[in-house]
Amino acid sequence: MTSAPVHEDEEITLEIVRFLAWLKKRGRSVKLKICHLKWDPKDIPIEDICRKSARGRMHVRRNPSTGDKWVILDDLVWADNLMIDYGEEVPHHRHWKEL
Amino acid sequence: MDTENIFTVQQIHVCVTRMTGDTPVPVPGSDREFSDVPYAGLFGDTVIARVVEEIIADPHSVYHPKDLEDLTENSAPRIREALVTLTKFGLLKSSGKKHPAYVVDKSKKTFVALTLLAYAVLDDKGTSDCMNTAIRHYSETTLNIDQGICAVAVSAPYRISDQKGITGSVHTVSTGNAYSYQTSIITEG
Repeated sequence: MTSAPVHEDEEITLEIVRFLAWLKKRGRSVKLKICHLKWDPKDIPIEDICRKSARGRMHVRRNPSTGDKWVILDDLVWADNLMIDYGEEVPHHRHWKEL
Repeated sequence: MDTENIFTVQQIHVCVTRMTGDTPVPVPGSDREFSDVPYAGLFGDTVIARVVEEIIADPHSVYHPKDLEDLTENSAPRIREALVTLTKFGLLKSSGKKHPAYVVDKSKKTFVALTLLAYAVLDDKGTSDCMNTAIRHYSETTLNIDQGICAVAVSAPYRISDQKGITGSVHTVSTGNAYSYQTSIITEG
């Protein structure tokens, strides 16, 4: 069992990395409504993340056809690196758990 | 030229299961930025594909049927059917009979393969390299495959003398070996 990573950006937490991993594995773009439904119970402030720790790497954009808001992950390499740091690329049962 | 019949073709009946789901699969090349069809439509826009995409994307959560009804925007009977199928395949483990809860069995190879598939679909849509990055990391951390090349060489001086003890000039001889290795396998090259 390895220890929890210490990341330079203190605003990034394991739950945020799991949110990024979810977004990436769902094709990098998901309706904002669905993001809220899934991640609000886990206290993930999606719009705040877009404005702060993921500024320039993830954004909210309106679909011009339907008017729906979507969350789009732009910087996949950044997300990859965070997921590797936190063991979230291919999670498995041997990975560490946050106490 | 002589010809010979080496096989015959017979008509066979194939059973086809109609796929469930209402939304048409998008044509590749259409506006993909705002598409929520699972795996870019590889398996159609079916209920089970939506459930699989959701549980693979977040394998840490405990899922209740109601959560998946909301997240995939599908009806309760269809979600129940998908959950039963995925439990039979071993991708999900269930607990509780009246109000079942489901967790992903992360030890299954199906889980790993579907995770890599999610990255592959993303890579094929653009120019990213997520699948290879994940495979490299998985190889190092889970399969403990750490490849490398190592070369070892030594040299030693020596002098040849004849039976009378008369010695010649100093020579240097070198020897070396090159190894390519994995963590537990060493092959001399």
